This record gives sequence, structure tokens and C-alpha cells, in this order.
Amino acid sequence: MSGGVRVSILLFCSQSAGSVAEILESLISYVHDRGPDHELIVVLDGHLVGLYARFQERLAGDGQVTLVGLHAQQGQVATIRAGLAVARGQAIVTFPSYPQVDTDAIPPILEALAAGADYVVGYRVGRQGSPFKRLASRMFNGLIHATTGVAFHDLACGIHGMRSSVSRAIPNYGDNQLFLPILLAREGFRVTEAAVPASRSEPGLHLFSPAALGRRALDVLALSYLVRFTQKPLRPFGAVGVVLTLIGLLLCAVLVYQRIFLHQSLADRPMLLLALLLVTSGIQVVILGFLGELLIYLHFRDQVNYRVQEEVRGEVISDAASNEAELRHG
Amino acid sequence: MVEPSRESDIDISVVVPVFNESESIPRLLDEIDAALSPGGRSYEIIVVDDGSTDGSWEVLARLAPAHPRLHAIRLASNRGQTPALMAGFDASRGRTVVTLDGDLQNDPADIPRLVDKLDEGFEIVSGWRRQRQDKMISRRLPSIVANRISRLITGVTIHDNGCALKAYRGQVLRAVSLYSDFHRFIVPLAQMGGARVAEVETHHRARCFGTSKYGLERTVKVAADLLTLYMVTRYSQHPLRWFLNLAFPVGVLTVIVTVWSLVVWSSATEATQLLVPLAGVVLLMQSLFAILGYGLFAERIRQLAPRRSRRVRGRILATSQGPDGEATLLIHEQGVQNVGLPVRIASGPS
Repeated sequence: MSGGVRVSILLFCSQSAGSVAEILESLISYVHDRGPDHELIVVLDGHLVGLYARFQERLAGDGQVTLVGLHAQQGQVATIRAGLAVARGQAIVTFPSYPQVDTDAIPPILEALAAGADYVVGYRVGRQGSPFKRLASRMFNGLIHATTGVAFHDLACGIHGMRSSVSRAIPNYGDNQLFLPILLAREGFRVTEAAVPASRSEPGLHLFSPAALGRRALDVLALSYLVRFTQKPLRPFGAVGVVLTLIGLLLCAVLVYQRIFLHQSLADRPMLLLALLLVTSGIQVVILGFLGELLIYLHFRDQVNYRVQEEVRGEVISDAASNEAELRHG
Repeated sequence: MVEPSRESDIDISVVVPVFNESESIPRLLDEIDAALSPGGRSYEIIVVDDGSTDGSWEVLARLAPAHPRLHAIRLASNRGQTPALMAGFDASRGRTVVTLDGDLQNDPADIPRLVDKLDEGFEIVSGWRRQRQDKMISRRLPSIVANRISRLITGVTIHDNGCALKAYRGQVLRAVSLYSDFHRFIVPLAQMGGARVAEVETHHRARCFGTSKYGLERTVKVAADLLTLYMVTRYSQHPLRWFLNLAFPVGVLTVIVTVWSLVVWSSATEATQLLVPLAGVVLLMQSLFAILGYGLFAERIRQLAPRRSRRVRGRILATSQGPDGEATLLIHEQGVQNVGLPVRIASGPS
């Protein structure tokens, strides 16, 4: 057993936020209250050098707290992965460095993990936000659902939990934490949600800047592209390509008919270009889908694409079976 | 790789993927027991719960003590039918593997007849729902169309590939890798590989519990998957050939259009009369070079594919019956492979 540590709480910080020091204090007192089977890991992204120096001073000599500092700015997912690499607990809770939830959100996450989940996403109840903000949040989660097929209430919530076995399978993709549950769900892990109380100190209005909103929308697009098209590339590409090619061939047929039977000139008609363009680009779209399928067929078809949660057997099968087999052969 | 030792003393593995079938499961298990226990064959029932949310797993766990043959597997999340079947196949140990749907529309009483037919010397025996108890437009018609098209493309000879009730020789089945939604294509894949396939008429019952998990849009997906299947099975070992086949007509067209544009050029009076054919030539040439370039990509993808794989895969060369029992010979990328027990190498098509 890894030093008797049961729960690792991972405070990850990839953006400088004013309230991180208060959150740190509340988490320190949380793990001290719970005793030595809890540990706290604080991970700071590379550009937060000043914060690292301050925290180093604050945390010196505390045996329950580990401080990790990345060497360069590498984003949210890399920050979380760095923390997971040193986490020793069987259950790991990632805690956001901005005021979304308080420490009373940790027990519901742990309960959901104990109930059999591999990965838990918290969703806040009793939020104080404005109607506009709630609408924006609902639209964002709806967009995720529509594009990736995975439904979550509150993907913007930063408190997640996972088993240590899952932490080793965390995909190194993207730089946003919200990618993790979606990708893990696609891998066959059991991803569930847990209701957590929203922070009492959450500021009333925290809106994303237009730039952040744009980045996030691009993230979602990239993710849905990855999730949708990597498994069965020929379905979308083949459909689009075949339709383009067929329209082009139809146009070609019309043009040839008009040239031969109606004696219209062909050479000076831009319609001819359109027809050729449709056929050639349609074929190339199909080809790209075929290349994708070829890649999967030749390289990934042996991948085990299911994950067994548990097994139950009736009474011993093999003994009864071998007895019967002996009877029949003997 | 297939481990011969896993082919233990069990004759039949019944593999049933279930998704939200808590009402059907008790009757299903009873009916399988009723069908198989009088026959004298040993068997196991592998039920794969594909992430059900209606308490199917609790039903299975509760029934396990009363059903000594049951081996229930719960997947961590809902993965779809192909991964669920793979989980069942990977856990199966029987010399014969029988699959059926968990919704009671297949009658387990048909299993012994399928297995008997298999023992006559086939690798796969499929059920044939001659009298289907389903809605005509949304269920039967798509199925008939899909079967026709897939017969045309793959050369499958059976009538009802959509029937879930099928019996397979375990060695052959466990040598197949399924991904995507390819559980529908086990028969065409195996038949292209030389497997002998037979069919037996089976009963088909109307749905008693629950609702169907599929709709009409499935036909479109199956069509796309058929295209995939056709391409990868025929060209995955020499993809450049597919691209050359495609490049040939484009090349011919390029030459024709080039010659024609030269003719137009010689008699052109206005600039636009020249521009359109010239643009056509450029377009076709770009397309030709793109096709050839993609062909080289495809060839590299094939060359870099891993040689070792989890499963044996290949064409079935022969099944032989020797003093040590029976075995199946497969031809695959690394030569002839004996799957199962040792036998003399039979002469067969190469």
C-alpha cells in the first residue's frame, strides 16, 4: 500500500487567480483535519514562479503536502498530469484554483468513487450566478452533448475525482480539463457525475472574455472532430465524397447530352469546370476517408475496446463440465 | 494468439450481449438451460451486460447462484454491440460459440439444431428468420435491402445475416478481430476467408419486453460500413493497387481533355474558349497526382503496420480430422498457421 495514503487532493493552478491562497489554506486545514491518510498536492504551471516561491515558504516542513512546479507553461492537462504522477492515494480529487466549490464538495466525489465510478465529474447545485450566466453554461453543456454525444450537467466545474488506476490512463490530449471525462468515457471507463454544493464565495458574475470563449469553442470543435471521426472515418467522408462525385457525374452527363444532341458548345461553359471540380474533389474526400479506415484496420483493429467492470460466475463450471466430458468420452 | 489450452472441456459457449433487458434475462437463462441441459453437451452461458442502466446487472448477480453455468460480465460503460460481443468471445472457452440476442426474439430451443448442423462440417451456421415478427417498414424492409446489398458486395450466400442466432466454431471465431460496428460482418469476413457457412431455419418471436434499440438510420451506417469492409478487406494488403485503379480512368480523362483543349486552342477566337479547357486540365492533373500521392501514403501505412497481433488472422485453408482431434488451418500474413490441435498439413488451395 502506498504509504497508507487513501485520498490525494490535487490543487492545480494554471492561471494566476487571486483567491488561490485562500483555497490553499482551506485545503491544508481539510487534510490536517482528516489525518495522515489524506495528502494534498499543489501543482503550479510553469509561469507562476512567484506563487511557487510563496507556497514553498508556506508549505515548508508540512509532511502532508507536496508542491510541484512545472518548468514551463504547459497548460491545464499537463499540470494535472504532473500532479497525478506524484499522487499516492487510491482516490484522487482534482480541485480547482478558482472559487467554484469549497472543501465540502470533496466527500460527495469520494462517495461516487466508492460507489464504483472510475471518474467523477462534479456539478454544482445552488449556484448564485445570474440568469444570463446560467443560460451560457447550459448552452455550453448542450453544445458538448450535441457534438460529442456525452452528456454532462456542468463541465465547467473543476472538481473531478478518479481512481488511481485511471490516473495512469489519462490521455495526453489538449490543454483543457474538460477533455478528460469525455475522452475517458470514449475509452470505456465508467464516468459519472456527483452533485456538489457550489462555493458560497463564488463571485456573482465571472464571464469569459471573448478570446477565452473563442478558444473554448475551438477546443470543443477539435474534441468533437476527434471523437466523431477517428473511429469510423469513412462514414462522414464517404457520404460527403460520394454525394459530391454523383452530383458532378450527373452534371457531366447533362453537359455531354447537350453537346452531342442539342449541339450546344462545351468548351466555353464554366459549368464544365464545376462538374469536373465536383468529381475530382469528391473522389479525394472518399480517399481521405479510406486512408483513415486503412490506418485503423491495419494498426488499431486489435485494440481491446471494452473495459470489464466486474464478473460474476455461477457455481464452479469447470469441474462439472470436465466430469461430464469424461462421462461422454469414456 | 489463440491459446489451444483455453479450449477446455466445454462444448458450447452461449454468448448473449444485453443492454437494458432486466425483464428478459430470467426467462432467457431458463430457456437456454431448458434447451441445452438435456442434450448431454457441456455448456456455459456468457452474458455481457453492456452498461445497462435498468438494473440488468443486479438481476444477473441475483440469478448467478441458481445458474451454475452462468458467467456474467459487466462492462464499465455502454460500448455497443461489437465490443460487447468481443468481450464475450474473449471470455468464451467452448469448442462451439453460439450468439443470440438478449431480447428473447431468438428461441434458445433452436440452439441444438444449429450445433448439430455445425458438426456436419461447417465453420458457421446462421439462423434464418423466415417468418419475422417485426414491423414491415421500419425493421424488415431495411433488413431485406441490407441483406441484398451485402450479398452483392461480399458474396455471402445466406439469406438472413441480420439474425443474431448463430453458431461458430470457437477456434475460427476467436481468430477474428472485430472493431467499429463489424459484428454484422463476421459471416462475410469468414466466408471471404474460406469458411463454410450453412443456415438453419429458426423461430422468431415478437418482442415481449422492452423496446428495440435500433431504428431506420442504421441502414445508412451499414451501407457506409459495407463500403469500408469492401475496401479494407480487398485492398488493405496492397492499397496502392486501389489507388492505381482509381488513377487510371482519371489519367485517361486527363489525356483526353488535354488533347481536346489543344484542338480548341487551335481554333479559338476568344480567350474564354481557351480558359475553361485549360482549367479543366489543371484540375484533372492535380487530382491525378493527389491520387498517386495518397496511394504512396497508403502503402507506407501498410508497411508500418505491426506484424505481431493479438489474434491469428487469415484465410481458412482446411479443417482436418485426425487421430488427435480436429484442427483448423489458417493462412495468414506469416504463412500457414495451425489453430488448435496438431494435425497433418492437408493439401488445399493456396
